[in-house]
Amino acid sequence: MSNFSHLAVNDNGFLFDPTSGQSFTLNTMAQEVMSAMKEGKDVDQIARELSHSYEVSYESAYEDVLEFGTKLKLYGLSL
Amino acid sequence: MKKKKYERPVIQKIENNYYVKHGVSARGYQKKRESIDNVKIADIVKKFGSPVFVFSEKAIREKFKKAQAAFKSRYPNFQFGWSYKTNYLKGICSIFHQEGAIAEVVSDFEYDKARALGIKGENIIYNGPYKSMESLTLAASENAKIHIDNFDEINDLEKVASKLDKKIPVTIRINMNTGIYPQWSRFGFNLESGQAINAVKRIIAGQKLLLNGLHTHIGTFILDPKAYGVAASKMLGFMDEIENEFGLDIEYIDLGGGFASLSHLKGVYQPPEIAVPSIEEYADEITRPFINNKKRPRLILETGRHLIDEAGYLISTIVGQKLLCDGRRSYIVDAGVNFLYTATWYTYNLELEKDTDGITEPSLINGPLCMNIDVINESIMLPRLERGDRIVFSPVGAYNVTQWMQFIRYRPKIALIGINGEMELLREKEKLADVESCERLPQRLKFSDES
Repeated sequence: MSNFSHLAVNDNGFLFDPTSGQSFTLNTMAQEVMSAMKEGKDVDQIARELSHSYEVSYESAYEDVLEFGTKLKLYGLSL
Repeated sequence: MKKKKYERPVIQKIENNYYVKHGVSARGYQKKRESIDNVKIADIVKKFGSPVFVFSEKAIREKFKKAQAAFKSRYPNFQFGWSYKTNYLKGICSIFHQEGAIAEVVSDFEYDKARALGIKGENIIYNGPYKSMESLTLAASENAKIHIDNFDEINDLEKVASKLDKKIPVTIRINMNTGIYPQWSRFGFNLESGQAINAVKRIIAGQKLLLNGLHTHIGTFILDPKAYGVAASKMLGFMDEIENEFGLDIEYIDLGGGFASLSHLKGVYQPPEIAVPSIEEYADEITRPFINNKKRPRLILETGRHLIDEAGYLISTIVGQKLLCDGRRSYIVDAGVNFLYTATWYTYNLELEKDTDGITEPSLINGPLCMNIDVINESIMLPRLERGDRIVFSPVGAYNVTQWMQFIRYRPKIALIGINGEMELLREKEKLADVESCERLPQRLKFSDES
């Protein structure tokens, strides 16, 4: 997992990757998950925190975080 | 502590012209359908299950009346034949027959269906490139309108005439250049090359058949009404020519079908609301040459798709989803190309039963078949949908419930929403016994795990 230090993300969820020149939009939850990933938390930890704070089960949150990580890889934003 | 509302994490790549191509903004408009003819989708699924085909009786009758008025108001000597191959459910055919359509069939199977429904032979148009001797004999004995496709069929019908000891009234099918591409030349005798006049001469020489009608079918999903105007003019010209030369009396000219519906044909850039001509535009082009002709024979049309497509819906349910390697989301629904055969050529209208928030993402809709080609929509921007969400596809009334396949799954129920909102069953869901009813298992192959 990358620390995403090379990426520029603003408060509105606009993400710019200066390496590839590509831009992305993130919703609020994606921003929160990305921040957690930046802090080095793993999928299990993030899913537990989400299910604790939000109306979502651990199982669903785990699947969503896992999938979000897959998308970051697909877009070349993490290793 | 009260938990906060959850929204799935979504990342969306921004691509130049992306939203222009799809016409959907990031939090875009999604088409929604909560009901069909004021009957809630949820109630339909509760009664019939999912997936389920649903037809609107109101839509069928209104469409037919509008089309009938468009032609009869311009040219009163007009008759619709209901194209069985487009949709031969008994309930659907009966509605068209109640409205005044005769039957147009293209095989012995369809002929049997029309007869079983109570349609007299004289009110059946018998088309198609292959008609068995048995069915030709039956159709001739019942005075059906037999449309000859080729010279072999002339020979066959002459044998039938000898057997029945009667002169059989017949129509010949003609193909021609109407200015559209591709030109359909597979059905009937070609006009420009002289095949058609040769067929007339052959029939007259045989003295066993009586030519009293002319038929053509210029193609399918014809978006240029002028092609029909050309066809009508050429057919009337040919009628005048053979009547003058051979003293024939042509009672009717059948211009087939092929009018487009409001379905989105793949490869057509414009949306159907713009690309598809109105029924009045078709009627104008077709009836003008008839009105201007000295002799005005009966005009018959066998319009199928235009009359039924938009009355049909398929309600399906999302049973799973996954992220594909290219970043698109694949939704698996409980109905695939096994039921929606025409998905190969048309992109259906896709409507969600309920409002769904969230950023839209590139998605595709897959059916439940274990085949890579089971794709109902290969590119659509959708918000994140949930398992159990319902998707309504339309228009699917034409050809799907005749060309569908019994492949690895039971075919679903077909329902009708009646004029007064009543929910009625037109076809039961298949059972194992239905599917295996024609199979035979030789005794020596019988197997039991018990032995």
